[in-house]
Amino acid sequence: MKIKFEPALFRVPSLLVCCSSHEDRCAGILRQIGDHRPVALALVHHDDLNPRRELNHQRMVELAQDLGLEVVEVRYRKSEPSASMAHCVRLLSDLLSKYSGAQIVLDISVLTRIHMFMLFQWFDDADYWDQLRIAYCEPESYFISEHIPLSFGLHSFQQIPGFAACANFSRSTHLMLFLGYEGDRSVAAFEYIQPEVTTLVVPRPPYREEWVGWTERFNVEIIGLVGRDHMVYADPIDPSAVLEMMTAQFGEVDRSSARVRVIVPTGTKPQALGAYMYTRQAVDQPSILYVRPLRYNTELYSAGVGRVWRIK
Amino acid sequence: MVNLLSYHSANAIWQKVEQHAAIWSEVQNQGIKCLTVRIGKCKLPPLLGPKLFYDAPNGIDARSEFEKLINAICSAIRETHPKASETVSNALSMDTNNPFRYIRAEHLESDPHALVQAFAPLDSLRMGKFHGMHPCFLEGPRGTGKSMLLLSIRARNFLSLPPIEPPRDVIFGFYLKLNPGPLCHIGHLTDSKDSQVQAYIREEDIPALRDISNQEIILSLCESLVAELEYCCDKSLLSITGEVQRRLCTLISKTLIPEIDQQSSQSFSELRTELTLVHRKIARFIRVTFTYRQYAELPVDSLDIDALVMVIKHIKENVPSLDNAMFVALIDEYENLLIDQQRAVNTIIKFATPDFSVKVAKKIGISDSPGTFSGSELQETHDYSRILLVYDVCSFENRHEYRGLLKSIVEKQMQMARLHFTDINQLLPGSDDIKEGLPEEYVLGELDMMERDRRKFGRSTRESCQENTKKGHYREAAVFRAIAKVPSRAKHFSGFDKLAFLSSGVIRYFQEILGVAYYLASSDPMCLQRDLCLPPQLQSQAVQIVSDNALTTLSKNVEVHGEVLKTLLIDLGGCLRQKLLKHASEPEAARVTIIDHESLRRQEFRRLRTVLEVGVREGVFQTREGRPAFFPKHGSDPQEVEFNICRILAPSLEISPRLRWRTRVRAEILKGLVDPDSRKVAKSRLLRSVLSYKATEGLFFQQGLEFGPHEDQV
Repeated sequence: MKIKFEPALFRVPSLLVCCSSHEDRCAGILRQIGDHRPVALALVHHDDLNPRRELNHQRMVELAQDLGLEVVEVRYRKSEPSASMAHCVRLLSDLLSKYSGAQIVLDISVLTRIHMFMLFQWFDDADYWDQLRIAYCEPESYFISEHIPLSFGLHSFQQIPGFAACANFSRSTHLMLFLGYEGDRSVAAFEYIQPEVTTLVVPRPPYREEWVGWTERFNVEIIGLVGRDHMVYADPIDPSAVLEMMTAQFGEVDRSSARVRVIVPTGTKPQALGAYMYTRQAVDQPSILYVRPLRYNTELYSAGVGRVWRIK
Repeated sequence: MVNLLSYHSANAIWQKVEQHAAIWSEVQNQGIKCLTVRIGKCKLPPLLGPKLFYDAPNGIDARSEFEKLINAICSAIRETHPKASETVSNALSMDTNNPFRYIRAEHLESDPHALVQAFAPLDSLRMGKFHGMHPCFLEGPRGTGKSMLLLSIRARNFLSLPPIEPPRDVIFGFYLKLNPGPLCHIGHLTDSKDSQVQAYIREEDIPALRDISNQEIILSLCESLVAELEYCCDKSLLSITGEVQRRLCTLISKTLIPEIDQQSSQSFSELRTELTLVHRKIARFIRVTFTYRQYAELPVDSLDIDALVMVIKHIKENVPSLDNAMFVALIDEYENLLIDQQRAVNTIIKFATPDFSVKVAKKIGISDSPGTFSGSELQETHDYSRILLVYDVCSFENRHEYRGLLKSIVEKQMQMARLHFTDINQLLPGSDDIKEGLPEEYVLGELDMMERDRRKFGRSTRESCQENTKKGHYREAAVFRAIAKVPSRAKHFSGFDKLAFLSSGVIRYFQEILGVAYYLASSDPMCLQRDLCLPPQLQSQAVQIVSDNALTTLSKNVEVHGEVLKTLLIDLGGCLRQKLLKHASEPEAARVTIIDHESLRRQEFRRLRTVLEVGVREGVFQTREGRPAFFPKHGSDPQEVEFNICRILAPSLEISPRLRWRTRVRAEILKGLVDPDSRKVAKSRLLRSVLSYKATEGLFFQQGLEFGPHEDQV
């Protein structure tokens, strides 16, 4: 699903879950709220040092208060995803008990991937999946370069805490690598997992027409290693298209696979949602591996708020 | 080189001189390209007219204009100098017909026969240990064939070996590759083996965590065992009737998950589905208990080592061809496990025999965690033995063995590709720098200069008697010095012996060199005739590419410390190159020796210690088994520890791969090199200490002899 976001979504009582960030788009949904308003805002606040994010966070809190929303701050420590998630679960459970039956609108634009997957899983475990609506804001523009990646080096490989383990891992491995503008991470994941079969997912169409071919350029090493024949294209915004592509590549969700499947979601966040949608339905669940870079390219970031989508 | 021209350039005298030098360099030296960029409406000198690369008549004020210029320069660099990693990845792509592309066991997983064929067995001593019942750890750096060796006794591969007389004992290996994903975890990060990060795990969680880790590993081993039986059955490597299969599945199901309806599993495939559900239950238990902090019942409580032993007993009783077989759990990538998961595996290793054996592959340099859940620790020799897959190419026996292994691998790979193989020296003909055009008089001149330097300092009385020997000793260094004086010339490496030596005991590097050389040769049909021959020039080019790739990918492939490790190597390499080019008596000295190794135990050296450990684990540094260094000169001196730079990195660092002399360094200086703030100062200190410079003479001499104790020089 990929439809234009309408503030009318908040016609029914809703709980809005957002995250503050140094990117302008973190407040994209909050700024679009018209006459229909959510009952409360759960605002995820990361702990690392980022003055620009702090400024945006303060603005978001003030904006929500001006709109008359109840604001609950959810502290999230990147180094302790499980402990942070426990805190997050407690606060969200309280809010959802208070506003029983409320629709949940989750803005995933700037959430960290690990937190995003853990949230999806919790909404599923706690039977809120059907009440969940997901929104995504594109940036208006990206300060990115054709030759400079968005991140450098390799910090670690992290499995998403609490995610289902693959059954029977004596099987050979099929890796699905969602490619972005960070070639180093793709190669590192490939070297680490050492799969027998690899599928490279290239986002197409890109956010901007002139960016066609950039993903391939940033990932020239991994494409060389794996071969162009193993490249597939998937919409960067539409999770249903990703789900369809994954079903074609990994096989039907109700069947056991001949291989252990591993997903490395370094593409866009809506693509990561598509990957989760496949995983939650699969009898033989793939595992999800996050490749954390050593440092981000802080010179290059997004500006403004572009198109806003409802993707679930 | 980028030549920026603005309206100030017309009057800039020094810039004009530099412009001329740049143009001259481009003409003189192959590989140098000079790009001229005009900013503003300045007059272009006639000589630079045809060389105008980028014209910005209105200046570069906007960010977009600047980005455009940078992108254009980057594109030009990429066109003329493709990245080493790009070339290596293209050469070893699985889509090509390159016979040397099978550099990993995974490439051969779908073809068990090829896998067994591709790997040449090790020497009988190591294979004896490996095929025995006693559990063992296979240890080696990246690319030394650990997985290949484990897979060689996996049931599907072992049972497909051609029969021999007398029949060999049956080994039924079942394989587990422990990359992250297959096991659940509660949110440790990869570096969470550090106690500080583990602090958020509550004390009361530990028993449940241990229990679940243990159950998950046992469950995974049982799944692997069942999957192996199923595969062998499907491929007719084992004969198991439908009736036996049903009976066996019921027995296994009853043993592992007595809570579930016993009649459900009628086949191996159904049994695996049942076990899959247990995995999901474990994952949910982990989420609810450790993440959501809510109560959840333990999904199963019957999965322990006794259950695994019972499963093996059922198989032996019901499958006649396996009644005397040795069951072996083959566990790969042990280093990826978290502490509690390692303890679970250690417990299995400790109590496995005599019912089954365990063979574990792990990277060298990973600190051992001998803990088990039984209370007693895992003891080397008593509980397991260690097989090192490290070939020291300096040792005669090891070198001979390693060369035999490489020859055998190449031969088998060529056979698999249906290429004719006669002799390794015909495939890899050797050459040297003189044959490749380096004037011999340059080398002789350098040798004379080195000899004069030594004599000047009165060191040649004894040495002059051995002039020929000495010339042999220093000839290689003289070649390096001669090459350094010829612009754009790199050291030549070719021939089987040299390539084997450069690969430093790591099979993967040797295969990469061959793979890249084949890729470079593939454009020339003359090279790819019936008798394949990789020309020396292309071998040397391939060595440089593989070396550059090994160095540059460190920051991409090595977690957390990759970048620091790379800069440490570059700094060390820079100092060693200066020593190679200037030191009078110890030029080839990449044998880095830490004289106060005991300091590394101190807290302030923690980062350096970790970086060195990671370096050993990734094969960047090679240490020696047993006593790691030379005996100290005096009995009272403490033993020093060597960290030899892997030879494959030598071409990229422009140092000699021959580790002939030591370079003694203090831990304090190395500590400075791994800290970005003190790196510059530390490098200057290191340079001073390795060269031991005497300003009045303008010469460089052996440390610690002419100028007193080394410490005085620091």
